[in-house]
Amino acid sequence: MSDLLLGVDVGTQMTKGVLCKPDGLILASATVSHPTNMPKPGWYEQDAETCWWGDFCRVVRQLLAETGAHSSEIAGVGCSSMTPNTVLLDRAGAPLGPAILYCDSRSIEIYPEVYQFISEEQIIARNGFPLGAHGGWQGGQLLWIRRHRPEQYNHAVRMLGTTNFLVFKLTGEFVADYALAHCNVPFYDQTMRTWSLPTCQLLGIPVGLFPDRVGYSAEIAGMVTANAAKECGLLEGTPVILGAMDTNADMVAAGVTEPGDVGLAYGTALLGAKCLTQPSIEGAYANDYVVPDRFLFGSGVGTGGALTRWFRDAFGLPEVEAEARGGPNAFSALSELASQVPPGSDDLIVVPMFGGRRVLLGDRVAGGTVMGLTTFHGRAHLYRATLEGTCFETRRQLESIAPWVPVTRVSSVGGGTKNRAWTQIMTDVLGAEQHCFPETAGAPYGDAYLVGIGIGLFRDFQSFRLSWARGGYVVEVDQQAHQAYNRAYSLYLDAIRFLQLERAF
Amino acid sequence: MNDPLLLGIDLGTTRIKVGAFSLQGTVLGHSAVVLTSAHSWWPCVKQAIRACLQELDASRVGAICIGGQGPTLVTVDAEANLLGEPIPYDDPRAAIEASDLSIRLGRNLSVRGSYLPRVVWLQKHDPDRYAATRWFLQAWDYLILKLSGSAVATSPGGIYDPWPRADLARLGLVHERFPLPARLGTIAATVASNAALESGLPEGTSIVAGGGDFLLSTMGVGGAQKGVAQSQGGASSAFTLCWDRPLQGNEIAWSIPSPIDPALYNCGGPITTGGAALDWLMRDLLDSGAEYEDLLGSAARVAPGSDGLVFLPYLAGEEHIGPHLRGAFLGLSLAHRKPHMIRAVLEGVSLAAKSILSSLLAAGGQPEQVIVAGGQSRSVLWNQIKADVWGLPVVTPSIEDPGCLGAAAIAATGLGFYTSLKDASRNMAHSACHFLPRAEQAAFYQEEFRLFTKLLRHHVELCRELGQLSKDATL
Repeated sequence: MSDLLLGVDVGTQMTKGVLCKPDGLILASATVSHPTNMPKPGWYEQDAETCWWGDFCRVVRQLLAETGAHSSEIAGVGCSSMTPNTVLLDRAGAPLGPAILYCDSRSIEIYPEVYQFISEEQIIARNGFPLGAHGGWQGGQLLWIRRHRPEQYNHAVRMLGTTNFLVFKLTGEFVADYALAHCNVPFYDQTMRTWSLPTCQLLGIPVGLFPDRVGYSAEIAGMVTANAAKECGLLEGTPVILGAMDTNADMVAAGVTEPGDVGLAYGTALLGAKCLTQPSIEGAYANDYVVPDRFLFGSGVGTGGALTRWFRDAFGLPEVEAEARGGPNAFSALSELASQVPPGSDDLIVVPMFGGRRVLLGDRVAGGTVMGLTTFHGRAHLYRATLEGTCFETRRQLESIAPWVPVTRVSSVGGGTKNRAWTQIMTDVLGAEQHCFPETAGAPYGDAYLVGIGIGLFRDFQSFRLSWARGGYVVEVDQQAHQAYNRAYSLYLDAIRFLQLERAF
Repeated sequence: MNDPLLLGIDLGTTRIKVGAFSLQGTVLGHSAVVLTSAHSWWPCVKQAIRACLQELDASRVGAICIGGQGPTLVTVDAEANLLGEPIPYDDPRAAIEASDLSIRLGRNLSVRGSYLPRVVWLQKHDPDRYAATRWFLQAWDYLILKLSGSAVATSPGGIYDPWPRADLARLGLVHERFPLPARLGTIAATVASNAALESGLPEGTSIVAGGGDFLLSTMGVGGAQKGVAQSQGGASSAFTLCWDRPLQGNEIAWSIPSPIDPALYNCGGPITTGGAALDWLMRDLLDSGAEYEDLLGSAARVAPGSDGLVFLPYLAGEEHIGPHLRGAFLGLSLAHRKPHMIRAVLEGVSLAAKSILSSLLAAGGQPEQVIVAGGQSRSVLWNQIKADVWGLPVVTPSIEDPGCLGAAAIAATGLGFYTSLKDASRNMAHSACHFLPRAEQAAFYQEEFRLFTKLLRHHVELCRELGQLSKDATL
């Protein structure tokens, strides 16, 4: 019987895959690490063929070997990836040079050229984002290649991102889901949900470079070809869905489906997203989501787990040493320390923008800030205030997104959800019950679920919560702490206003 | 006695220090005893004097002088026994009385500058203690009373000025309970026989009138000269310039005649949590077991500007800038570690002093050098940062605790070995190290100071709002 669902996510450092039963039980998971090349400062590259596709094949073979499943038991395949990445393909479908990654900053120099032909306002009107938002887009990467690697550009017939490349390798189809197509700013038109012909003409880019079809993530892109089957070990004819971007797949795995749902990912960066039924609200723009007519308004505190790690490394020497001697985990010990301090940290305020912001909501803040310091405050205060700062910032950003849509449910994934002190503070700051899934496989799990939607195994996205939202724990609101945080939060907002005065800083 | 020993005694908040000096200011003996409560002051001073004189010929002691913390109000009965705990100089409880007195007497009195408001506070809030009091005394005058059996009010003309009798009468205070004044630098009393036995001092040793710790340390570093600035202190500190006229400005909290030379004025302001900021960072925030010296050494390897990190050192507010003011770290990134924070604290405290310095400059003061003393001056790194931030040579005195030397110089004047306090100070105080500003760093810190000032201005506003908000939320 073929009912197993395969999900694979390509991240910056590794490719992860899971093989799931229709009820969400994970039969096996597999991970393959891969390198990122940094040929110059600010340049980040990977090899599409050996790294993206090669690791996909390795993960699939590992999963089959580990479960003993036959490839015929796999009902469908779904992929997701980091984005926006760019690779150009020649007539034979082979990559022309290394792929440029999302974190690469080289295309910034291209923006003035773009603005000669099309204004920033026009780009924002079509896509909601200017060229430089989120560190840059595939459009900029393409134009950089045209200027500096003409030998590649002149032979290119296609340009793809990571997920799209894997789907092409599997099926021979050039497709993208709405969210990944959107990453081709300025050559996409979010309002029309297709490629922007006027922009392509103005900038002299043939529209044929871009995928032939754009749709929802769970739609079937095609079937595994004989060639691909030979390389990766899947059965020829296995259905493949369009695939997703990693953050969307993460939110699927967190169970975000309905308007008012909020998903939090406690990763290196703390990401939050609120699900709405409209693509834009004043001052903010959405990504297309995987659920039809649902849009995710994302926010990023910027530093989440990176901040707790910073604290451990900069201030947590006693805990790190104790852990090395066989004591408790340093993060648990620090959480214990934080619990000695009352909610609100005795008016100590930490503004957590230690690494700049990932998403700009019309304001700019550079640098983390510790305010309200007195000689009464110690290390425990600073740690608690640091955790609280990330939660205040999350609340601030979520409140700026359609405040008239009440938050119905908060679901959280990521390594940071193991930190009970942190999730309790978040719940009490937001004043909303939180469902945490520390053990979820994340994006590849979401991919596997999307496959089930695509092949018609599930009727709608509601089914996720029935059996796929597994394990985890629920954090209830402590009303007394919530009241204390409401007061501390107003202090935090004042501090933010202060920092906004300091743009020159 | 051509080569007398001069004993300087500095009653601090945590320790009492005694130093024995030659007429040239050479240290011949030194001791320090940790104080617990005020009841330990008298036993501790005797212990410290004995320890200081242990290796010396006590009969050579020509004179002693006592000064220290103030204005602290001490109350004693007719047998010179302490009544209750002293009300220390940093106790704010008489603030209302201070502003009331300022209006009634038509001159500015603050709880930091005078103990009179504390007397009025006692009269109102502790009438029993007030009624039982024989003498209202400064802390050091209490020790003089114990040593000599005579009650005197030393240091008239300084900032701890005793009050004209007419004033006391107008306030309804019994003037007989305030001792008669003894002029700074003159013999005020002599050591009585029983005290001589207990302390090891010769009976009849002259006790020369001294004063507060700022006066003492100014004497001890040779700071009473036009154009000499001082930034002394450990936990809390100040930045002052000696100038030939009073200077007015935003950051200038005081401008008062120098008790050492009536033609000069001490103009400046406080940095309430100077060294305390560093202690707090090391002990409470970093909770570090590492040695002070190692941590400071690590801060030396961080470039000026602490990689974008700025520290505002107002951990306990600052009366003349804003009581709600608090400390802050601004511009933190994931790359910052302890050494950055330590350097930021050293820089922040120095920049806070520069705020006062720039007000002094704007008012027409022209400092030529800054003498630093006290705990902060032990750090070579900090001294160099100060020189670079202030753009002025920074000088450290030859002894770490100049308070005792200053008292000894006053004692030498009282015995007539010097014609004036100024003369004594100039001959007995010596400098040790000079730190010169480095052009490149000084230019950098000039920019950094602009940023600091701007941040501070906004931060004062924010803290005022936050203070208001906290109050509202508590209501």
